[in-house]
Amino acid sequence: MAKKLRLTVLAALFLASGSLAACGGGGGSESGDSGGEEGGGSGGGETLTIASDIAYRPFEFDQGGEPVGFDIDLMNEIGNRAGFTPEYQNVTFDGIIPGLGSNLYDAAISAMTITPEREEQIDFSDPYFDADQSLMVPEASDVESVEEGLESSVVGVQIGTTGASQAEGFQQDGLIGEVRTFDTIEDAFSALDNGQVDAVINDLPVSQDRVNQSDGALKLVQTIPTGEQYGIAFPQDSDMVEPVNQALQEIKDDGTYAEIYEEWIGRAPESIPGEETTGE
Amino acid sequence: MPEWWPPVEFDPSQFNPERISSYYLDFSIVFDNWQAILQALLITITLALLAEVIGIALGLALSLLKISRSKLLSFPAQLYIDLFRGTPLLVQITIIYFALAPVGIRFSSLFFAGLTALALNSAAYVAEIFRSGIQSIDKGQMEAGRASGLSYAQTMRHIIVPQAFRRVIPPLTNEFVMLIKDTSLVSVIGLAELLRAARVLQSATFNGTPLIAIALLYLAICLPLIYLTNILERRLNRRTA
Repeated sequence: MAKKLRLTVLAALFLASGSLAACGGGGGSESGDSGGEEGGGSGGGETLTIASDIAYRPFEFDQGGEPVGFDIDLMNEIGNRAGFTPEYQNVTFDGIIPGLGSNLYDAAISAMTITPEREEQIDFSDPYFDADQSLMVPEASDVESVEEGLESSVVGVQIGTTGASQAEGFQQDGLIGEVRTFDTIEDAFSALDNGQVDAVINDLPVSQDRVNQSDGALKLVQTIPTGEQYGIAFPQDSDMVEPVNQALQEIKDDGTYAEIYEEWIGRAPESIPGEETTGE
Repeated sequence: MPEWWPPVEFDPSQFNPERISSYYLDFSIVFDNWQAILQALLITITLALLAEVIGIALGLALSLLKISRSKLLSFPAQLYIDLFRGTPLLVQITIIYFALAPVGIRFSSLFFAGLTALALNSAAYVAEIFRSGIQSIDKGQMEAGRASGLSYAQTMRHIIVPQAFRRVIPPLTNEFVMLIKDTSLVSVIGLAELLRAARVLQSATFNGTPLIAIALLYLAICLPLIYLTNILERRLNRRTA
């Protein structure tokens, strides 16, 4: 009896670990491998575990069990040129930095803004995306900006994001009634759909994508210019930073960056991060 | 290790006592944000207490329905209990808050959404506790009550339920402990109870201390209750033995 029980427990653990590995591969290790081959041909090189919160259209989202999006295409292309195969691991956004800190992942690409606070914990690549924050409200809302009409409103944000700290700042200034944090941006969006929050403050391209898909139910009323830039994140002192930066520079220079940008953001990039600032 | 065993890496060179103490034991983060934590603690406690009170009232009613001889009464109660015991609380909370809009139910207050889910869930467990408590009372008590001219309802109210109540106090206390811990699940909808407050702090500071701090808070609340349950159980056993 006891032996039988132990076997069952072992079997269950085995199954669980199998499915975990499948999740970890971001749509199955099989699909991850095949993705690497078709995109690659670079001979693969080593397989690196890349963490990402894969619920962030258009940067990373799930399509038929596969991670797709701007970040994914960019990272695959970087892997091609730097000679590694990315294997995506879907994690919660606020778990990425602690995870990198304990060397759980080789790198992370997740529309993550480069901030001084984060730089104390992890290393960043050169910037790869110019982003701003935005204020999104239902079409029927009277709110026109953060400064007007939000004093007694509830604003939804995703935990651990720059949008969240932005919103907390506004709240401290008395501009926002309450800030509500959600685990994923999808949760915040769905609370907005349900009328449970009055607005969402989040990265402009992601909110723009959501507005485009909402059939006119939502609108962006304000771009909050923060001049922030996304970077690929690494554990501190990772020796991956150099090769990734080199590959990223190539991709920016030879026009591949603009192609990926147009495909996912739907327009040509207004700027290529790091290009106009000389001496970068 | 067999080949199929999932690899678990332990790299002793990663083991860094200094980093461990700064990551887990930097309590200055907690003291600097004590107001947020205190507020979250109050929300957690209020949530658990209210859910327990509603859960007991609803659960008692459910248990009486369930032991009723009328199928018309017992079946819905059984269905309710099965539904709430057979699905994860986390799923119930998520559905109640995020997915009831199409049926026209919209919680504008996170607190009441969370309270509703916890109370409805707790009621199902409390119902089973009461049912077994009531059924543990000797049949002769009901017979005696009826023989002395009381109705079924009167016998229940004055004789059976008061006796059952004493017996169900330990399992109810236990259920309360579970309920306190389960309030942490409500963080998924964004209610700033202890876990959410700690995660907001953790995500802002990249430090694990807030999580350790709230774990200690949960322990400080639950351990006395657990010991109380043990004492109550021992007393009850002595009396019935």
